[in-house]
Parts: sequence; C-alpha cells; structure tokens
Amino acid sequence: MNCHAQMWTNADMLAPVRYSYRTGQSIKWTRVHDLPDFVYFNHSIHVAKGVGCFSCHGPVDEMPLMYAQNTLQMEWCLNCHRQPEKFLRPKEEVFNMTYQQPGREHGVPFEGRMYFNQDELGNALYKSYNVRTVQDITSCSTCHR
Amino acid sequence: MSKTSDSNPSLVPASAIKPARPEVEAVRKQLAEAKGPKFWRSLEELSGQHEAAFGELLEREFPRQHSEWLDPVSRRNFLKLAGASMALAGLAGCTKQPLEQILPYVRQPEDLVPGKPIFYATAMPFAGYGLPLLVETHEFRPTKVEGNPDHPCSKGATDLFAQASILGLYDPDRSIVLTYKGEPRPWGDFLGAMRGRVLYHKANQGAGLRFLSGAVSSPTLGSQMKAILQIFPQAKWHRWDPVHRDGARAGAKLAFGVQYDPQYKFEAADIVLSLDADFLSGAWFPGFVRYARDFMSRRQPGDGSKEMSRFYAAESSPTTTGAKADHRLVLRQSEVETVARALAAKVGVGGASTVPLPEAQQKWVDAVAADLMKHRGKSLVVPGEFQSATVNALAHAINDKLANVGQTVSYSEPIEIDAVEHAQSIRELADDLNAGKVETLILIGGNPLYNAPADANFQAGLQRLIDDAAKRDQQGGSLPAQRIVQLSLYDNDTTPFCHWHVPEAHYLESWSDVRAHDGTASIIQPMIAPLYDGKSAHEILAIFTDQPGMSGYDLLQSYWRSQHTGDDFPQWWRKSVHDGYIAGSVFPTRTVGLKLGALPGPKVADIAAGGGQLVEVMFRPDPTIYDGSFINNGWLQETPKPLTRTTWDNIAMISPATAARMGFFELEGETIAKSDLEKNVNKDHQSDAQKKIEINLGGRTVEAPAWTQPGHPDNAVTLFFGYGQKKTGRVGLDRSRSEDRPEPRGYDAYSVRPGAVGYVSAGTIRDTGKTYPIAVTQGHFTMDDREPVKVATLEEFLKNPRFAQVQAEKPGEKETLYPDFAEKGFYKRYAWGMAIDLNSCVGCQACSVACYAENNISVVGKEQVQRGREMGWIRIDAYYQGDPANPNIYFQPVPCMQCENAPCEPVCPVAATTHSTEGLNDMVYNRCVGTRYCSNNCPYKVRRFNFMLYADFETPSLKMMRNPDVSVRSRGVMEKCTYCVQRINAARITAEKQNRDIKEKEILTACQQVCPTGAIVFGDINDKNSRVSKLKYPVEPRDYSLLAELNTRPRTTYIAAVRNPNPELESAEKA
Amino acid sequence: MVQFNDPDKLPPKGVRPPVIGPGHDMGTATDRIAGIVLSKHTPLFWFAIVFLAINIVGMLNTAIAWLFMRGTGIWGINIPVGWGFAIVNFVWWIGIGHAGTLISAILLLFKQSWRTSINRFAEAMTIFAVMQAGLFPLIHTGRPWLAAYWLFPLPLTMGVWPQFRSPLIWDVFAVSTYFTVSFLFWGIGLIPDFANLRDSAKSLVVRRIYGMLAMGWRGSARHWNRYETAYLLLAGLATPLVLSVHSVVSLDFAVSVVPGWHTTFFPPYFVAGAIFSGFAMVLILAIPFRSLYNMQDFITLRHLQNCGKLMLATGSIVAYAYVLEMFIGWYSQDKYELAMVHNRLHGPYSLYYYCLVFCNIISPQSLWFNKVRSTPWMLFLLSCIVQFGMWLERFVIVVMSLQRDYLPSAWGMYWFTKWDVMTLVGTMGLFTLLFFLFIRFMPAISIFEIRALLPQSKVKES
Repeated sequence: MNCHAQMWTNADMLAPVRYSYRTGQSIKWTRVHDLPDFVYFNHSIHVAKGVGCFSCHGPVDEMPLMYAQNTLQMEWCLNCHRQPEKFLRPKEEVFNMTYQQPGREHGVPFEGRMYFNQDELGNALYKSYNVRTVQDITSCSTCHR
Repeated sequence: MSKTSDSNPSLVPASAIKPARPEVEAVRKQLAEAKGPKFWRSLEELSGQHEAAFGELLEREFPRQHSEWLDPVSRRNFLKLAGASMALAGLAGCTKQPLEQILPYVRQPEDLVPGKPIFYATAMPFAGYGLPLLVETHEFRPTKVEGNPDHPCSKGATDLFAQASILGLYDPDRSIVLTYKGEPRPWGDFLGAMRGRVLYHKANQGAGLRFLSGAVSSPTLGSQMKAILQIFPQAKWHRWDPVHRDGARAGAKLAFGVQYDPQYKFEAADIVLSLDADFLSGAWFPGFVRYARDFMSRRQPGDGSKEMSRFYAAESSPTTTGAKADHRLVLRQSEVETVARALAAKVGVGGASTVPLPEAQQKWVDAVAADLMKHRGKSLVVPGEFQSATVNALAHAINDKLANVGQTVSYSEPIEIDAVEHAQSIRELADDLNAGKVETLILIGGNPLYNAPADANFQAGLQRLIDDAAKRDQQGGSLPAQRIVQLSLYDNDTTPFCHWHVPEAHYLESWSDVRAHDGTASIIQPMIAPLYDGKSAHEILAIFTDQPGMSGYDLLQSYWRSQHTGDDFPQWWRKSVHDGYIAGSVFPTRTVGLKLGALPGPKVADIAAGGGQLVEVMFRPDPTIYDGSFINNGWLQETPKPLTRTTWDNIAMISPATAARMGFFELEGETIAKSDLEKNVNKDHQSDAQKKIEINLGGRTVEAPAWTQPGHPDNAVTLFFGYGQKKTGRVGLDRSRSEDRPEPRGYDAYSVRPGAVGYVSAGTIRDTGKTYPIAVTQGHFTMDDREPVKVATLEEFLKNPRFAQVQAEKPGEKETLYPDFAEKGFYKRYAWGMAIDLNSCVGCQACSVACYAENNISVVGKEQVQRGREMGWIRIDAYYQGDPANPNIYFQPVPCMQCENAPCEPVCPVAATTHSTEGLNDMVYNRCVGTRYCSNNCPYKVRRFNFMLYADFETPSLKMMRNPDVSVRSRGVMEKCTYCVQRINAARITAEKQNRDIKEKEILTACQQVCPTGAIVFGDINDKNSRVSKLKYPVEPRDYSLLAELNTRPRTTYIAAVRNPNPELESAEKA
Repeated sequence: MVQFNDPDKLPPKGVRPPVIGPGHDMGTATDRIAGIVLSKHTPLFWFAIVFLAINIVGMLNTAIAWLFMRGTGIWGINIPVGWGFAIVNFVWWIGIGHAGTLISAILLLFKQSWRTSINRFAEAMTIFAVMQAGLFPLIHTGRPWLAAYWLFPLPLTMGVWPQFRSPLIWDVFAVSTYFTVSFLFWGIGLIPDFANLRDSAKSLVVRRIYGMLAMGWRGSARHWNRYETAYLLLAGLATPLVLSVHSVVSLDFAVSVVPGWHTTFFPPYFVAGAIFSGFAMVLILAIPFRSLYNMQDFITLRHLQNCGKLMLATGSIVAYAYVLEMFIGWYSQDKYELAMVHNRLHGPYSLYYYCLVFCNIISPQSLWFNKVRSTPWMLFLLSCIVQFGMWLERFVIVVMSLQRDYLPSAWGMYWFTKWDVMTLVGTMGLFTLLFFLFIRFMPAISIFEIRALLPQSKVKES
C-alpha cells in the first residue's frame, strides 16, 4: 500500500490493490515491458551507467495507462549498445523525466563543466563511468546465454 | 531476469492438519481433471478445494507416457508436439512476444531481491556422514548445491551425490501422499494410529517394538533413539546400511579393543599405501572430499616446498583411486589380506601369520615395505572399508609400528552413534520377524526388502507380520493388530509390505543435524517448505517420545539447548545455523594403545579349492547410484561411471584373462599381451552389446552383462549394487521393451549377496550366450598416436620440465587465416582461461554432474546415449595404456576449449556461435538453426545437439529446479560449455557497478567450484598474478594445449601428468 | 543406307551412327515428338509408373511430417557424425543435375549438334534434381522454420545478418542461382515448342493452355533473333555454373578441419564426379525413354556412345582423385591424414569404400569397349552401378571422415534409420513423378531443334 495508505485511500482505481492487500493474493499485472526469456537484461547496470528511465520507457509520467514506448526489439537495443554515448546522461539525471539532452542554448553540467552537445557530454560520461567498449557490449553473451 | 510467477510453496504458510479424510473415489475423479501445478502440500489441497494437486498421484496409479527427457522411445502425442513447437517458435523470437502476466509479492520478504540468488548453509547426510553445503536459492527455490568453503571437511568442494540431490528434491516421482494400505490418509489418522501403538507398547515395555534405520550420526536423532529405548526398554533399534562399514568397525575393535574412527592426514604423508581403500573416488569413503584435496596437495612435482608423495595401491576391484597410483598391485579381495599380512610381518608387526606369496607380489611387498620403513612417521597405510576386519586391524597396526599415529593418522570417537554390526543387526531383525516376535516395525528410510542380505528371508518375515496383522484385524478382540510403518522418499519395493507409508521430507526440506567425518556437527536447515508435506525422521520419532506434532525445528533446538547451555544460546544458534557448522564440535583426538588381538582367518572360501571352477565374487556400491537410493536420479544415471564410461546400467566386471577364458576377449598369443588391449577395448560406442553371464552364489543366481575391465583381478567378478529395483520412478525403470509393463533397470546384486560375508564371496560364473546392450559414452580407450594426455615420471620431469611441449609441429602465431581478434581490440580487459591439472583429476564425475545442475542440461535416456547423443558439457575421457592385466589409466576432463581460433565460429551460417571480446565462444541458442556444422568442425567434439525435444517443458517441479540464469534449450539447438558465462556476467555487473575490476576467485565455474582436488582453475589470463596465469606455459612448464598442432589456441589447457614410481619396482615391471 | 533401319544395330567399323534416324522430314519428326504430348491415348506403363511414384511421394511426405514433429533425432545422426543421409543425398542430387546444364549450355557453345535431341529432358532432369537437392539443406537443420529465412540476407528486427564466411551461405546462393538460371534456360527453350503444340493441338482447352505457355510466340524473324540471343546469353551464364556450383558445394567440406574433408583438390574432384553421375542419370532416363516411346530415331546410338565416352572421361578423373586422396594422405605423413587413409581401408566402414571403388573405378573401365558403349542395356546397367557408386562416394566422404576425427575418445559410429531411407527413396519417387509428368505434357525432345538437324534444313551454299 505504501503511499496509498494515506492518499486516495478509497479511490475505485485502487480497489484491486486494497483487495490484494487484504487477501494477500497478488494482483495479476500484464507485463508491458516484456523481453523474451532468452534475453538476460539487468536493470541495475543500466541505471548505474547513466541510462535514463526515459530512454527505454518513454514519458512514463505522462502515461495515464502504461504502454510500451519502444519496440524492445534487438535492433533497438543494439542501436544504443552500438553508440552508448548518444544516450548517456549524468547519473543524477537518470530518474529525471524532464531531462533535456544538451543543445546549443541548453547546457548540461557534468563534473564542473557545462556541456552544450551530447557527443561531448556522452563521451565524457562514457569515460568517467568507464562504460565497456562497444565491442564488449555487443558481444552475444552480453544478453544471450 | 527472473519471473516470480511460479506459485512458491515456501511462501504458503505451513497449514495445520485437519483430519479431513477425502473420499478416495471423489479424489480419483478430481484427478482425472487435475490441472495446474502438480505438487501439493497438504491433504486439504489434495482433496482439492482449489485446482493445485494430485496429478502425481494419478501418475503413480496410472503411469502416463513419461516425458521425452527420460525415454525417447516413448511417442509424444501430436498436440504435445504442436505445443512444444509453439514453445520453439516463441524461443526463436520470430513471433511476437506472447502477452505475459506477472504476480508480484504482496508483502515482499525484506532480504529478497527478485533475480538475485541467496545462499544458505546446510549439510547433506550421506552414508552416515554429513557433507557441509551452501545452497543457492532463487526466490526461495533451491537451485544449486555448493560446498561450504568455511568448513574444513569441504573447503567449498562437493561430490556428485550432493550435486544430484537437487534433482532428488524436485523429482516428480517422489512419494507424495501418506497412505494406509495404499489409500491416501491425513496425517491426523496416522497420529491416531501411532498413538494406539505407543500406548500398547508402553503397557508391554516395548516388547515387539522395533526400529530399523541406517547408521545414525545425527546427534538429535541419537538422543531421540536413546530416549525411546529408555521409555521402551524391551524395544530394539536395528541398523542396516547395505553399504556398511562392518569390516572397518570390527578392524578398529580388533586393533584397539574399542572402536575408534581414523582421521587421516594425507598432506603429511610422503608414502601412501592403500589396502583396497577407495578414498579418491568413493564419495562413501568418510571425508572423501577433504582427503582427495589433501592427498593431491602432495602430488605436485613443480612445488619445491614439499616433495611429491608416492602412492601404492594394493587393489581388488579397480577404482579411480587405483588409477592414480604410482604402483598398483592387482589382487583379488581375499589376496589383499594375505598381502597385508606379509607386509605387516615385514615391518615387524607381531601376530600376523603369513602364507608364501607369488614372486611378483613378494617383490612388490618387499619394495613397498622398504619404502614405508624408510619414511617412518611420514608414511600412511589406508585400509579399505570393504575389506575384512583383519586388513583394517593390520593397517592400524602397521601405522602404529611405523610411528605414523599422531603424524599421518589420528583417532577419534566413532562418529556413528552407538555403532553396531549392520549385517548382524539386520539378521536379528529378520529372524525375529520370522519368529513372529515383532509387532510394530518402524522403518526410518531405507529399502530393506530390496537390499537386505539374500539369505536373511526378510521378505518372508514381513509377510508373516502382515498375515498375523490381517488375522488379528479379522478377529478384532482386545489386542491391537501389528503394524509396519515406512518413512521414505519414494514408494519403493518395501512399500507394498508396509501398512503405513509416510512421505519423507528431503534433507533440503527439513530441520536436522549431522556430523562430518571429523565429528564437526552441522545444523541441516530447510531451503524450502516440504513440497509434498513430507515428514522428517525426528517428527516420526517424536510420536514415541510423547511429543507428537512437535516440529523438527523445536526438536532440534530443544536438543541443542541441552548441549549449549547459557544465555547466548540464541546468538550461538543463529551463528551455527548461519555458518553451517557448530564451532568447536570437532571430535578431540584420542591417544590409542594398540592391543592387536588374534586375527580371524579369512572368511571367504579359497577359490583355488574349487579346482579353477570357483571365482571370487566382489560386491561394490555403484559408482553413480550408490546403494540404489539414487536409482531414480536422471543425472546420476546418465553421468558415466568413471572407469568404464557406461551409463544407465550396472555391469559385472571381469578381467581380460577371465574374459579370454570365456571367449569374450581376443588374444593374439597364448597369454595376454600389450597388443591385445588395442583390439579389445576399442569398440564404437553405440555398438556395445555385452555378453551376459550368470553368477551363481551357493544356488542363488543372477544374470549380468559382463564387462571386460583392464586391471581387474583374474578369476574374480565384481557386482555393483543399486539396480534391478522393481518399484521406483520412471527413471529407475526400463520401458524400452514395454511402455505399460516397465522392467527393472540392470540386475539386482543384492539378490545373491550373502549377509555374513559382506563384500566378497566365492561362486561360479558361466556364459549364458545372451547379449545385452550397454550405453557407453566413450568407445575408444587407447590414445593411439595422438597423446591427448601427456605423461612423464618424476625423474623425466626433473630432467626436462618442458616434456609436454614436445610435439610434431607448432604453427607460428601468425600462421592463420582467422581474424586477429587482439588486433580488433578484443582481449583488452579480461581474457578468460582455464587450466586443468591431469595429475589432480581423479575422474570422480562431480564436475560433470555439477554442470548438469548449473546449466540446465537435459537427460536423454539410455537409448539416445546408445546413439551417441548424451548432452554432458564436460566429459571425462579415460585412457588405458600398457598391459591389459594392469594398465596405466589416465583421466582427462574435456569441456569446451574456448579456442581463440575457433573452427566452429566461421562455419556457422547464421552467426549463432561467435567470439566474445573476452575470448569466449559465445553460443547463442536462440539464434541457432541447428546445421550441426560447428560440431562437425570441432576437433574436440565438445558440442552437444538437441536432436529431439530433450528438455522437459512440462513437469512443474522440474521448472522450479532450473537455474533461471541459463536458457533451457529446446529441440534443434546446439549447446556447449560457456565457462558458466552467467556467473561471469553476474560478477562483471557487480564489479562494473562498483567501478572496479573483477577479483580473483570472484568467478568460479561450476566444475571448478565442485572439484574436490582443485584440478580445474579458471580465471583471467590477462592478470599475470591470477592463479590461472601462473598455471600457463611458460610459468608452468607442464602446461600444454590439446591438439596444439591445429593452431586452435585453446583457452583451456592441460597440465601434464607426472607419476612418481619407485625405481626398483619400475625396473621390475619393465623386465 | 540400309543398315540403319535397325537403330540399335551396330554400324560397320569407321561409320558413326547418325544423330537422327533416316527417312524423317519436318512433318514426321514433329508428329512423332508432339504426338507423345498431344495424343489422347496415354500408355498404360505411364499410369503404372506415375501411380507408383505418387505412393513413394506419399512416403516422403510422411517422413518429412514425422521429421518436423520429432526433430532430426529420428535420423541416425549423432555426435560426432553430425551430417548423415541428408547431406549425402543433397550432394548426390545436386551432382546429378550437372550433366543437364553441361549438355545444354557447354555443348551448345561448342556447337555439338548431337546435344539437341537430349538437351530438353536433360535440362528437365537438372531442374527436378536440383529440386530434390534443395529440399535437404532445409530439412536437415534442427529448426527449418528459422533456417528458411535466416539463411537469406533479409533485413530483420534482430539487426544481424547471416555469416558470409560460412560455406553453407555460399551454398544457398550457389544452389538458388543454379536453379533460377537452369529454369529460365529450360523455359525459354520450350517457348517455340509450346507454340508448335498450340498450333497442332486439336482441342480448344489444350490449345489455350499451350497458347499461354507459348507467350504469344509467332515465330517471326524478330522472335527468332531475340530467341537466339537470349538462349545464347543464358548458355553463357549457365556455363560457369556447371563448374562453380559443385565447387561451392565441395567447399562445405574442404573449408573444414576434418581429416578427409580438409583437402584442396575437392572442387575439380566434385565437379568431375557430378558430371560423371549426371551422364549416368541421362542414360538411366534416356534408354528406357527411347525404347518406351520408340524414339530410337531421335536418341540414337550416337548419343548413347557419346554419353558413354563422357562418363569414361569424367570417371577417370574421379578415379584419379581417389588415388590422389590416398597419395596425399601418405605423402603428407600427417598422422591424422594417415589415420584417415587407414580408416578408409581398414575402418569399420571399409566395405563401403571398396564397394565404391568397384562401382566408380573398375566398372566404368568396361566403357573402353565399343560393344558396351553401343549396347543400351549394358549402358543402363552400368549407369545404375555408377549412380549407386557416386552415392556411396558421398557417404564415404561425409560419414567416414566424421566418424573418426581427432580425439579417439570422441569417435563413434553412424547407422541410418528407416526414416533416412524413406527420405532418400522418397525424393527418387518425387523425381520420377515430376519427370514422367514432364514427358507426358511437354515435348521431351526439342522439336524445332530436331527440325534443324534434318538434312532438308541444311542450306546449300554454292
């Protein structure tokens, strides 16, 4: 229940949650971001290396009902694994849904420096978080076993 | 990524038992439409308010066509296949992801992070001793067993039985319902019935109340036993382990007057002599895991600190221990005694009458005796536990004479609680049964009807008890009727002869305790709530100590409270449970005085008397299914028996000469010559139809497939226990001939085993003219000119440490058309490699079974193995060299070599096997289309192919067992060793998150972790300080690559074997 | 010239039989050949054979259905012998095809007039054979439903391509190209004859059908001109294929490290073998055909003799290859090669090897004798022996090499199952079925090209 013990305590929307809490029976969730069983995806490492929630899940904060923003197909994964620097962001920005990649008039601070384009920032992050080489993260066994 | 969608039994609160008795017919009806998970936990569930249930019972009553992974002969119906191919399509990823639902925890256990394994300490009771373990659990499902690294008796290693026990836990054929005369009953009914028995026996002092268990080394069980015998003074507690240690026990008594258990210190011994002791392969040898490691620590020639020890073996039935010996003397079991006597006399032990030995043996004895006496205090004589009391006593005496006691061997209190002679004990019970003196018989585990001595008439005894009971039931009257109660994991051959059958809780399901070989006590904690509401021995016995319904946990704690008094008990208890052992519980060393009594003469009839007709019949536990308790374990059935590489059957071993006499072994000349080996041991593996021989022991006969074993003593035959059970699960039964009327697998050695003699007897053998197919995984046992195993004597090694490097031609680094990965920026950070020490490998198969457990490898069944389709990722090749009568034997574990120039990679049309930046040959199962080209092009033939749908996608309990970090491969997919890439990735991610490099020993491959002798070392060869780089050439001169001339540059390399023969004997043998 | 009234009788020494029987003019030739197709009456043996073939095809379907249900495990393959019948059959069938292309393309370029009367059905043979061959690489995979499209370079959501280093991919291209070109070649050659059938057909329906197939062929000079160009171009395209296809197939083996596969002389060896078996197949088809349909006038002894000579030539090359294989094994003094040779001669499968030596080396020597070359039944028998021998050759290469490669511990045996046999026989049935349908509904001999051979079509230059 957590928060909903305090707020919206009898919102119809949350009836199933309360029911589950009472009966101890799990709610059956439909898995929206679902990968095939032969894909071994580790969430923590992506967060640890500065991949924003947004990059994979899209504008979750604006979704009245959760939907899959991206295909989650292999080529989509590879698109990032083949050029991580294009998507990395500072760790503290990972959960920030309104984060903007640096642009000409919009800078992003990192390690005491202001960055005005993603390539520079990306490379800086890439180095400082020492993300593995592209060859490393595109080796088959990175995701498949 | 792991799903928590399995219904997770350990989260369902253990429900109290209501005496609700289901109408069997109704239940049956329910069975018919039983769906969903096929495991259930209580009779309420069973009688089925909700769906979960009962299919298993149904299966037991009407066995369905068992699934593919057990017996490919069976035909799956079309729908099943269609379903399977859907699964395949899904796995292929060429379809859209099917909609999937997830069930989160409502209240998530705090210490649980889904997808992250948690390790708990426990111990496995086996053969009366405990093996300390760490068990890996995923979402509270135990999935893998490892050794407890902090425990002196394991140091992280285990054996094949511990590894396979996981499959035992999830075995769908386990007994799942408490029954009375075959009808399901609630626990309450049983309690009631037992209560009656207790009151009745309280009245008569427990006359007619009998218990039968194996050797007891659980302190709690021991205390319960004592308590019960106090409450019921007339009651008797019998002991029977078919693989008992009567000889060793009696031997110790003979030597010291009282019984002590020897504790060996192999690391301190320069000379080791084994008198038929199988301490390197027999997991049943107390302390095997520890001893193997200690012994091998002294077999490293390179190591300057300690000189390499020398190992003599005087051995009867060939074992892997003998295979590791520098000098092996081939003897019949009875001859070991005469040799021991001669040896004892030589070193000056009084009272050992000797008989003149054949010249060869005499020479051997002289040399060994001389060597032993040269190393007083630094030598060690180890007696075999299957040997006579005399041999054991003499061994102790020799050690005493050589001042080894205290140096290389010490003695402690016996681990077994109030030890008795098992053969004696079961005999008494059988006699009392037949005399009708028994009224209540409680069988704690075991399968006496099947494995009791053939001459004990145990079955007749049980039958009599049942008949009496039936009579009394009819008469009614005041006297309550006799009862037999069985607590066991399986419905076995004994079950039909028991009134009550209680499903036993697996050791991973129950609280208990056990002592390791050195006396250290371990708390056994459950990893999961009993899948089928099984009970532990403690809970059954509690009924007789007026504590019915008391949980195993409470019983255990109450015992240990009595041991550890003090306020810190809770902390102490927590620590002991957490650590997996109770600190300071090791048995203190006893100083012993030798009082060698008069040695009894040899028990076994001298076969010479038989005028060449008699042969010596030796009995041994089966190398992989032990006494038969593992008959239904697919992993142990399919993992090859170390020396013979046979699977799924037991064989009757005979020597080449004996075989030649029977015409099974072709000779070129009159006598056996070296040249005869080649011709006879090299068959092609699917074609091993063996001659069936009939073994006749005093009128009792059994037919068994003969197996000509180089190095087996002449005029002798070895029979192996464990097979031939009529009532067991689908794995243990043979359905190849008839689906509905399954036959026992293999032959039943117990059916001819006389009780008195234990492990050896004299009988006759004859050719029946029939043949029997044996599934063998290796067809060719000689190395030809290939020298896959490189060997030298210590002398040669010291002369030329680089002896293993000599080879026809070594291609230059650049002489290759393969892409230069190093140039492409591969191997920069990590470069994984492995080194396998052929000196240390004892061929115990633990690595092979561990690999099955870690990597979800399928079992394919005998018929498929015969076709050469076994799936083991790491095979242990056995090679024979020299004289068939007494060859040198070498073992070579062969996993995937992870070649840098991998022939498998360029030939795959869909790039399903590729090179990783860390030098692994990645195998992408979901990309594989199964052209099998990679396997054809693999010079090591380490790739395995799913020719059919071997993996079981249906049985729910097996789903729970699987390692969630490894894909379950389906039909048409190639698979192979990946250096446990799932473990590498896990470690790497942890390290990456902490921005550091992976540390040494942070990654252990499954095979490395389990290996008792530490023969397998894995690590990063970029790190010059890692153990593995120190084991690579040139740092380790013995290091060499298999088939180096092919320039595949394998990452897995071998450390050549070095023998340390005694020059005198060597010259003698040469001559 | 009297002695030619009996086409099967030997001509006097020094006189070569003509490529076409005497006493034919445009009309008779056309009627005789078109007659097979257009006649209302279908011979009984045709029904008999087709009925039999259909049943065998049914068996093939069963075998394949069961294969898809259970997996390749129903076959005898195992580890170490990962390839068995499927690949053997594949190589065998694809080899058979080669003769057709050789006859139609290469002999055309070399202006061998005698080719004309056999090229049509030789091409048909090629196409049908390649169809059989193409079946195997697909069904022998563990997961054909994926192989079917992952083996082709299609852009997929996986973002990965096939691996072009693998000979199996080269196979895919080689075989598909081969089939396409052969099919076009055959089709274009048929157009004028379809027109011919259209014009001489009685019933409206038949006329319509052939009309469509003829694609509006009017036989105008321009048509002929275009036709000749196209035909010549395709011949040019097809010619290299004769050599390339089986070379590529041979690389499946030559590229690997397996002793017995890893040899450089495989391409020529395989090509020669292919043409060898191809001509054997041509004879196996031609000899019954000419006697069943009394086509002795058009497929004369001359043709048979020439095929025989070609077999002798290619057969000798194959024989040379066998000798070379042994010699190199010995000459290299490489222990694995030596072991391979030893295994051929003394291994568990040596009987197969000796059998193949008899079929492919010894028996063809009889072709040195004119008597054999000019006696149809002898040729037929010999061709069958050779055909069997060539199948054995592939068996020996595939199975015997894999069975014992490097580590003695990994050696094993291979035994085919009933499913293996059913599949092999099944494809033979399918081949026969297709071929007999072809004979019945299409001109098995090129009508207009025959016409061109007739004396009266020879233009006299004064």
